[in-house]
Amino acid sequence: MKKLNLSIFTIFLINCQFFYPQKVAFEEYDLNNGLHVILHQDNSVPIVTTSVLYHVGSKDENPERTGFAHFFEHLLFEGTQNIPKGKWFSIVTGNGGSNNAYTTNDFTYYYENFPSNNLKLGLWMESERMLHPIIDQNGVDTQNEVVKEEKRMRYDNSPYGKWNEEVKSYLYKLHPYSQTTIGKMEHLDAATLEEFMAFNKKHYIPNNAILTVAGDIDIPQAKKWIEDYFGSIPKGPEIERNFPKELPITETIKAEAFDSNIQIPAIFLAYRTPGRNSRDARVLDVISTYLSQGKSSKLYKKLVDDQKMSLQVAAFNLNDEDYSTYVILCLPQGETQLETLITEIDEEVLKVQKELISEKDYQKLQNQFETEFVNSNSTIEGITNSLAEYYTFYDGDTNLINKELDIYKSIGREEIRKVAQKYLNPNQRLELHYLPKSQKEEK
Amino acid sequence: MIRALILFVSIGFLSNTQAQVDRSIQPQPGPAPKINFGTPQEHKFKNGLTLMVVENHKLPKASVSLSIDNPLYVEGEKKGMSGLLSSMMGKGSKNIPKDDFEEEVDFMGASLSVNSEGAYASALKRYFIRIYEMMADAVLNPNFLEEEFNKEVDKTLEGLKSDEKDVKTAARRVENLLSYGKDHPYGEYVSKESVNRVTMGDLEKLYQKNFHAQNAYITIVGDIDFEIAKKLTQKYFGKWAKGKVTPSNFPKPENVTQTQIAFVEMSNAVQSEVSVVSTANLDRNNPDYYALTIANQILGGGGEARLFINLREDKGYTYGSYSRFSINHKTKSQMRAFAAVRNAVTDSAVVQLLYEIDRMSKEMVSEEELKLVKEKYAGSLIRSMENPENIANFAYNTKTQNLPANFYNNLLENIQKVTRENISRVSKKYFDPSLMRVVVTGKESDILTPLENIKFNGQKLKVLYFDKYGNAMYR
Repeated sequence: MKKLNLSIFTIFLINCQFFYPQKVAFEEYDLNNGLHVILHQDNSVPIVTTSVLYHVGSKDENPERTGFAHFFEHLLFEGTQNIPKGKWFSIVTGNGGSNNAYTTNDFTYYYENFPSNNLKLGLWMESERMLHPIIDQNGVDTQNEVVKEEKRMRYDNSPYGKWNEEVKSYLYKLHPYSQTTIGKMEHLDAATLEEFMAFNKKHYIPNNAILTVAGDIDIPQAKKWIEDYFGSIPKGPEIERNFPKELPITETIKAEAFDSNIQIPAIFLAYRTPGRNSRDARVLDVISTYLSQGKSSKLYKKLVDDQKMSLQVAAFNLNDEDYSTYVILCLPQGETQLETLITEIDEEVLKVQKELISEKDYQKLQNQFETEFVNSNSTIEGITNSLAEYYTFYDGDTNLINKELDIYKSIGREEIRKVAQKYLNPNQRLELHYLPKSQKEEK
Repeated sequence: MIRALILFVSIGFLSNTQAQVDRSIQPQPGPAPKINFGTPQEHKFKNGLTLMVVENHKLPKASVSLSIDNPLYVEGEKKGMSGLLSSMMGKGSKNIPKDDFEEEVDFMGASLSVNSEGAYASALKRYFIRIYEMMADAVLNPNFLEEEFNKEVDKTLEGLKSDEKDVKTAARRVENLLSYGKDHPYGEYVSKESVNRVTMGDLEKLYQKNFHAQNAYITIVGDIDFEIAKKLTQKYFGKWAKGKVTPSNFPKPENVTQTQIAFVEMSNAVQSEVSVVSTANLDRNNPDYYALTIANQILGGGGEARLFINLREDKGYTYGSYSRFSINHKTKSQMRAFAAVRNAVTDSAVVQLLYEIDRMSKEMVSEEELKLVKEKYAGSLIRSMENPENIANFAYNTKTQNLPANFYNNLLENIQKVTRENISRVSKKYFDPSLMRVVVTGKESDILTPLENIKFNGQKLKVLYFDKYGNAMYR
């Protein structure tokens, strides 16, 4: 009996193309000071996430003062007028919570996860951070050292740690995506306290922020507390974003970089592609999956498995607001030359440009994106983050959390071919030979 | 109109009065949520296999994992065998050729991996039955292809080469070697020579030894009915041979009797990896478990703990400093307090790490610290309820570690009972600096002289020298 039920259900699922596992219901509104609020209720587990996304990232920095947004990701844990210095982490953990933050080219994201009886505390802490953080020389000096250690750990002491910085420096000549989130240490050393305060005053304002609260909440109660704690935070002047546009790349850029932490070289092919809020960016996601996700993907199967030329190959689209960066990276195995890898990779990309991918591969892609979609909504922390980013970077379309799969499913085989033709040509890219430092000494 | 206006004004007034909140007062928590993990549904098959199922119908997906609770074993001069077995498993089966197998897994958007003593697969609900069937096939009928073997040996060798200059890799290798000894499963490490000694025959033998129904546990979590899970498991694994568990033998790790520094040279390092390590018998049945869990949290459990506050927030030596205990019931557990620090402050960081460890055993922790860590622990338990796989993990631990049936249900209560005196007692026992090795991996020319001059509690520390493979160097 049970078995029969299962098979009926299975058939039903196969026939139902646009089946949604769990609709993420949400409410959203603006406070008078321009703070955008998104609420999602899910009472199945007694937990809650409070997060604030500030629309400020490394691209918003003065080119002579890079690393500021990330620096604030550290500074804004130092304390506020009502939270003593050094107490942030202990208030969070002492109330059963966990917290973290991260910085990208476009935004900075702060969040706390609490048992649901501490929603009010989470809101209070984020509102304190927005209203009146303490920014003083002492905190700046300490975090300056900490950030330097972070840079050494993540980039300087880490194999292949500098590839992203190198790629950005060649692909972006006008747009501030040339700047890295960690920034230049000499910029941070030279920065004055006044500069830090001015950056805070300009960017960390309610009308440049999204507050997202999700989990086991009571919506009217949450709204009241949000008004109580955030309602009185003064609005700031609107921020103008007017970044220069890059000129198209028409000739292959060939470059070399050297790393003392590696023995095996790598090739990075990097293309400048459209920003994340574009259909083409999604098509490029589909192409990456086709090329390198899974053991049967084209590049893995050929380079790693069949021909044993490569230790690792990956294609991915780093999606950002104004542009994205499409990267194919490959590490050779044995004596294989980097130029040989380029030729082999190009052959596969050319096929995507010339022929339609097979019906079967197309169906595979649909299944892969559906799996990703189901998995992406499996934690409250993840849902909170997605809601905030959809609102901020997709013209306020928060409901993409429920619709995004439709978009991927609507991408056809012909469109995949056209987008590959449009962006993935050798004369539109950087070819970065990323080499062991020892090779430089030999030269 | 006027009435409407009055209404509007009064609402406005009302919300204004509500906004009068005293933000100088930290909000207090509401009533604590109840913790309720539930227990998996269970079935034991005749061949010794145990099935545990956690039904969770929130999302249309399910996962299955197979764990075989084998004793630890030494690989010796063929170290790398288990890694190679892992990479050889799951490449198709005797029934399905490798390419077809991998194509089908990807086609379903599923994931499937098999290692040297278990397997894991997950898929959308509509593909779950098939992925489970394929997992079972890969586990029970491995194909051991010669061509794949040669490929995996080459890949392992290249992988070793690519990590050769990685400071972290070298640091962990030598730390483990010194903590556990070279003839211990956790002390031995893979080398070019050891990989080259492994043959296909070794892998087939290891497979026979590791894979059997006795001590095997299958956990299925997600959108599936228990009865169906049981039928499927009976169908795929019901006839699996019971097999026998092979006991193994290796020396007991020993701590030092006086604090010493082990220096490991890595000339390309721009940061030093500093770890203070020791080993101790510590499983979840040990009565010290609860107090030591709390003690470790106070020392280095996170951003609010002593190491982080001292080495990062106060001194800016590092991006993060923490301490960890690997809870282990099969051999001694490792305690490790650590930080990656810039070369110039390496000696100072060593001093501060030792100072904080020493302080744990000398001073009573404060009531405030104790309370904080208990709350932290309770919160993390509540938050762990979100992932249904944790329910299965807890049940697995309970069975394989011989824990009392109510261990996890009583965990929070037992943690709450820990006193400052308990912490003081276990700290004296486990955080005794004289049992500890300080392993420093970094650039000799920048850091060695200051390290050789470190004084701790008035005494100069002995320094021993090693290369990045843990071979003693004499100078």
